[in-house]
Amino acid sequence: MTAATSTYGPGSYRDKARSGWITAVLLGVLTLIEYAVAVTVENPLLLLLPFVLAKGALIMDFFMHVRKLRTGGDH
Amino acid sequence: MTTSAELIEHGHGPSKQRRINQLGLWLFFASETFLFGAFISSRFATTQTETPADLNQALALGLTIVLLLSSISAYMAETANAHDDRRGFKIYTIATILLGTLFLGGVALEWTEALEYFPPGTIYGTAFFSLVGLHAFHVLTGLIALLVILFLGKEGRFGSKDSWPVEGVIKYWHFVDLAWVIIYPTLYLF
Repeated sequence: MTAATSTYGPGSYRDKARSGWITAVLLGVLTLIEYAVAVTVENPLLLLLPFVLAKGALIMDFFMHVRKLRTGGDH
Repeated sequence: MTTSAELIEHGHGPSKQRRINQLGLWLFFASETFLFGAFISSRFATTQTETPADLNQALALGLTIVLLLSSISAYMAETANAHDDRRGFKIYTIATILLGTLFLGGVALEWTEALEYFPPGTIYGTAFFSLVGLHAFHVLTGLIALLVILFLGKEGRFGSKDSWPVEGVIKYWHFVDLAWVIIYPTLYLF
């Protein structure tokens, strides 16, 4: 996922927009797989946990810029 | 109360102020995480992973997709604002507000069905209505905040020189999305 950068990181407006859409598509695909697993497997708790963690990590990293906290998220 | 101008006057530049804002926002997120965590743990404590067969899975999946779409439009609004693209900021903020409103409409529809199959008096109903209700309230407050930045943005506020208010509101919106990413499997899939 090298294409994905945060809003205030390096890269042009277009690059940032593209990385946002890539993240959104990844989140959508993970959600659909998560749903498919849930309706086909009995007691899917442990199988679904990695999906929840992956989606949470994507949102926190690319959308909430958690990695930029150390620098205060400055431009 | 110390104002931004006073902080700058006493040697705290905008960067310092921004870090203070960031700290405050993330502390708020931490407290909210405990709140959601308490509700989520109560769901497992009372009903374990048991879920009623009458849950509307298609609607819940649709709501999840709508909220994920609102996250990308919110991200685009933030990016547009940081690059002084006023038109983009306005369009994507409106899109986020519309998607958030659609989500709330879906929740209302879901509740009318849920009231019939597992009313709040039942154990699962209590967990369901309290958790979805808590989240819907956060969506509503997020929508109000988005409306505020939309109208202030129309008056020429924000942009790359003053991006923090937009960034703070959009981060809150993503936090609400993040909460749903956990609530959705907790109530529907486990």
